[in-house]
Amino acid sequence: MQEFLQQLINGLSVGSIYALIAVGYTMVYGVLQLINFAHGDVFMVGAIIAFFVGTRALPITFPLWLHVAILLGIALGLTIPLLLGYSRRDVLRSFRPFVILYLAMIALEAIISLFSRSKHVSVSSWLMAALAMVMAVAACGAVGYVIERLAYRPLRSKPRINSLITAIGISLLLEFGGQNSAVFGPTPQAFPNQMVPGINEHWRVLGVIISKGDVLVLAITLALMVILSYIVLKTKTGLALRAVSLRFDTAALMGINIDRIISFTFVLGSALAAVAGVLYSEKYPSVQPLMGLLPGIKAFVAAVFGGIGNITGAVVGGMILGLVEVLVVGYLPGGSQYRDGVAFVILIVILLVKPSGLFGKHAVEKV
Amino acid sequence: MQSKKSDSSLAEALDATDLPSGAGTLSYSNFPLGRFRLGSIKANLPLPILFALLIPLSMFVESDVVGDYYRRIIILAGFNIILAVSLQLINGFSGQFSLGHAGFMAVGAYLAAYPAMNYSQHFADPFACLLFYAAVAIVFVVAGTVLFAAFLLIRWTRKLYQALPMVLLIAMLVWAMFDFARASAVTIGNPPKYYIWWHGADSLVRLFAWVTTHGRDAAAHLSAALPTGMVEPLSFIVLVLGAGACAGAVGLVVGMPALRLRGDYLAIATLGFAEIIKIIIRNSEPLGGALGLVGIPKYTNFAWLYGAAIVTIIVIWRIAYSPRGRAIMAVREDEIAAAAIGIDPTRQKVTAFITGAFFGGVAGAMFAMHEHSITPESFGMAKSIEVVVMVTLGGLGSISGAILAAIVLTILPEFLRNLSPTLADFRMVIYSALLIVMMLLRPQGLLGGREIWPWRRFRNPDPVPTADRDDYQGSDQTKPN
Amino acid sequence: MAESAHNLFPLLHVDHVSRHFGGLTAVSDFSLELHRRELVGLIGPNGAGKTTCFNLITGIYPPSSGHIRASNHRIDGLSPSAINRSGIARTFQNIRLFQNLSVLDNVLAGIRRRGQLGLPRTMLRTPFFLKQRHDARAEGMELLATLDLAAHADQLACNLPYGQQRRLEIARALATRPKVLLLDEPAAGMNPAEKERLMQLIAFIRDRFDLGILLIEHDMKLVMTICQRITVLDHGEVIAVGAPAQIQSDPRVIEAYLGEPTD
Repeated sequence: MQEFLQQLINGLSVGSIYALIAVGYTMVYGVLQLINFAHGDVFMVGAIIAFFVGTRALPITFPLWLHVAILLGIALGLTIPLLLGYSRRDVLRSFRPFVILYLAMIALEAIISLFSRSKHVSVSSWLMAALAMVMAVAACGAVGYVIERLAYRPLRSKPRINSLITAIGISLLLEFGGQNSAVFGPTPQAFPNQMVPGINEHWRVLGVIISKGDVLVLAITLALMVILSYIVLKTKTGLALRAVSLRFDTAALMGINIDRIISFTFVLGSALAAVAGVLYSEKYPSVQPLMGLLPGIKAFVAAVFGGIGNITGAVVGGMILGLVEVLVVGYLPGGSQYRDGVAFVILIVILLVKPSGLFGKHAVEKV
Repeated sequence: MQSKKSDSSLAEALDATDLPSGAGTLSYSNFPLGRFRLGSIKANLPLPILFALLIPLSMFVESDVVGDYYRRIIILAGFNIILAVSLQLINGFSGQFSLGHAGFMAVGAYLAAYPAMNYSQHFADPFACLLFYAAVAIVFVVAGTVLFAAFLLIRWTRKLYQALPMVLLIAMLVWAMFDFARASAVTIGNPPKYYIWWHGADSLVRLFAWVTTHGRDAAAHLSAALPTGMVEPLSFIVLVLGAGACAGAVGLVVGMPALRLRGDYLAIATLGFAEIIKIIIRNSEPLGGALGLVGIPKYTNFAWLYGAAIVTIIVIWRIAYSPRGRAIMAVREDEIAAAAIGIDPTRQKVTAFITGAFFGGVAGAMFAMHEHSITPESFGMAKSIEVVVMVTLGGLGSISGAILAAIVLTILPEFLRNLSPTLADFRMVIYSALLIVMMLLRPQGLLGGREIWPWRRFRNPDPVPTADRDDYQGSDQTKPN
Repeated sequence: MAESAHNLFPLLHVDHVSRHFGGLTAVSDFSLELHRRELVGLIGPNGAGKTTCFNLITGIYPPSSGHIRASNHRIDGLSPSAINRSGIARTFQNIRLFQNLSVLDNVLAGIRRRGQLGLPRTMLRTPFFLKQRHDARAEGMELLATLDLAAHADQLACNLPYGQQRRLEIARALATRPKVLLLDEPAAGMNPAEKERLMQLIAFIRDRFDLGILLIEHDMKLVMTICQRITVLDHGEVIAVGAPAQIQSDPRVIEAYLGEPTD
């Protein structure tokens, strides 16, 4: 019995991580009807940034080539439209976010890396963990924003398959970019999972061994879900978000700034993925550029299972998937081989039985 | 009703219109067939020419002028061409976004490699290979019938309670999983007694073994009776076609439930199926498990690949540009409208799926008999995505586009690799960046959905791109002009 | 006046058909008969269930109760493509053309020729295949000419102006050689001149192709002018059937459209 409860908690914590990623998928699908293949890699970026912070390897500034690339991109993005005849005001206005982003990232990184390099801040401290989390969330939010602006927005009026291919391209870009030795390298490295002091210990409650790490994951996820539901249900932005996901064109007619809402969605989803990345690396402390593939697909399956476009569904789906996975590994003989297959079996079953998912509504096409 | 007067004036007006010659006024159904004989010859003329080119081309490729390195690239391009063209039928013409093509390739590869290693005696026994596929077919039919009967039986329970079939199906699936898992944990000397699914699978395996062992001798005799020159090519052809047929059967199994899904769901479902196929292969001992099959006899060379590519291109071209192809494209455009004019959407979609799967299996089979060994990892998501990228880059709905893109995307990584040593590190990054740029700058693909041949069709202006979003479908927007 | 050629069985016989969606009754006890060379109108306020009736007849969903027969063959419960093959064609309220196919291809998609075109003939491009292709194209062009679209045969369907798109939908439906044609608001969005031409066209088609036509329309003038009989629906029920003159003065119809008179 105790073992079952332990498995339960373990499963729920794995499930929470899937849930956090799945929410990102489901929100983006809700507003854009797009499967963001690059989402799993944003998750990976979060983990890797946290890795850099935790191992104090975060440099004062970005690597030089990244600086050059960003500056070149901004320069080209400013001059080419000007040459093509767009008005200066329009061009500057549309590029303002990027410039601000760039400056903010440099500032943030400088501050944080000064902290992390300082001898007064030990690696194993809440401060360090918080720094890692903040940096990961900021970086992933920025990455999410950039991806949406540069790659998805221009294709919004085109057939959906183009956006899908672009998403795949970005996913590949992030993976191969990460595998480049200038950035991270292809070999897995150990994540410093001592950042939160005492996280690897456990409590004994009524004979059940509860890992503190799992509890932390569950607590963070719960808190984030509460915040998310507040944002989506009680704020004006959340209302706008729901409106956009229901009827795209009508929402625009109602005066909602579609671009801003979509960007917001991406940033929010990416931020959650970043948190998931850090928590995942805490649990399975091996980071490498391809780590986002499998969790990404499983989270997507969870989102579909719960009803894609439905946030509650994504969370429930993620939890259930995590639970089933852990139980299969624990109780099925030879189950560890089938761990990754569980997600796909669930996928096939739900697509056969109820494609709209647990909480989804079957949209009937009006003839 | 004032129709009478306006009737005649309208009729007069219509009679005065310039009808194209041969329409309406002539009784066109009376044209003799012979009038079309010339056209038929003209249409089929390229074929012997293309096949005749096989000899000089393969001599050229096998010669020392073309080094090993370039030869490998050409052969790789050949595989990619077959894969891309076969996927074009599914993704481009039929509009079903399939991300699982590597799964069909895997089925073809493994179900060609296994008999090649264990049945064909190094391509000396074509009838044994045929026997293998016959046994597979028998097992497939038997299993299919049993499962289908069970499915029908379960669906009958719908009369008792609406959701009962779903519940029962899920229960069946879970039971099967547990059954197999428990059976795999049973130790020797402890025979499983209650595991129905395991017994079912076991009896299928026994059936297969029975058919193959009993037919072995007869097959060997028949093969020995063949003239020696024919034996090897015939074995190869049997293996390739048989593996393709198996892949086609898998395409049927994957296609049928996938039919009800639209767009993105279908993509993920096919991806899931491909992964499941990979997992099944990885967990079955006779197919080598995670380590794969090693020691596959090599037979594919440029000549065979060229021939297969030509056949693939011709077959898919002739399907696509025919009434059948038009029906498939109609279903792609609007399923409900297609049904309203007598086209059965299910049939067209399944046909496209099976045909595409077949040729995907053919590519896989030839791939297996070219490489010394195959592992499940070589048929993973990365490969599926590679093929999808080729198809989309070339332009959805264009066969020549798929061919072009396959060639370009085979050469490009190599080209980047050779460009400069420092750049080599970045080559995959550049590759993906190019992909993104390509999609942004020219989303309709290289050829924009048109073919290079016939030329006059190619020179038509680009169609106005239609928005694909479901909200815009069928709205009463007035057109801009 | 064209005589209605009464066959032994009506081309279309809808027999006390009802359709429920969960708790909502969309159509209840709907009956209709259609004979050759008849032009019957189906009118009613918005949401009355007219398109639902079309969908029931063409098999988009089966009726919850009642039968539908075409020339005395039961067609309820069949798939839409099977129903089309038994001679019933339709157009759609929101135009559903094959946007990325050419105008001619749209029509050719509906042309079914006698004679089996199996795989071998398609593969080898036999003379039979080429002949069928030639004949189909000729038939398609003739149909386009009848509907005044021949000049646009090679254009993409999505590039046509609205009125021509509607005509193309009709042409495509006619290509399937139906005996019954269901037109769902063919005049929607047209200006009066176009509507006039459409009226003549519909009557012409009925006579030229020997069809029975069932027409949903909101334009009363059009309906009263060309229809021989009119069925009026309201809230899923038939409230009146009869000749145009009768319908125009029927108090129930007036009430359904205009509401009860307030005194």
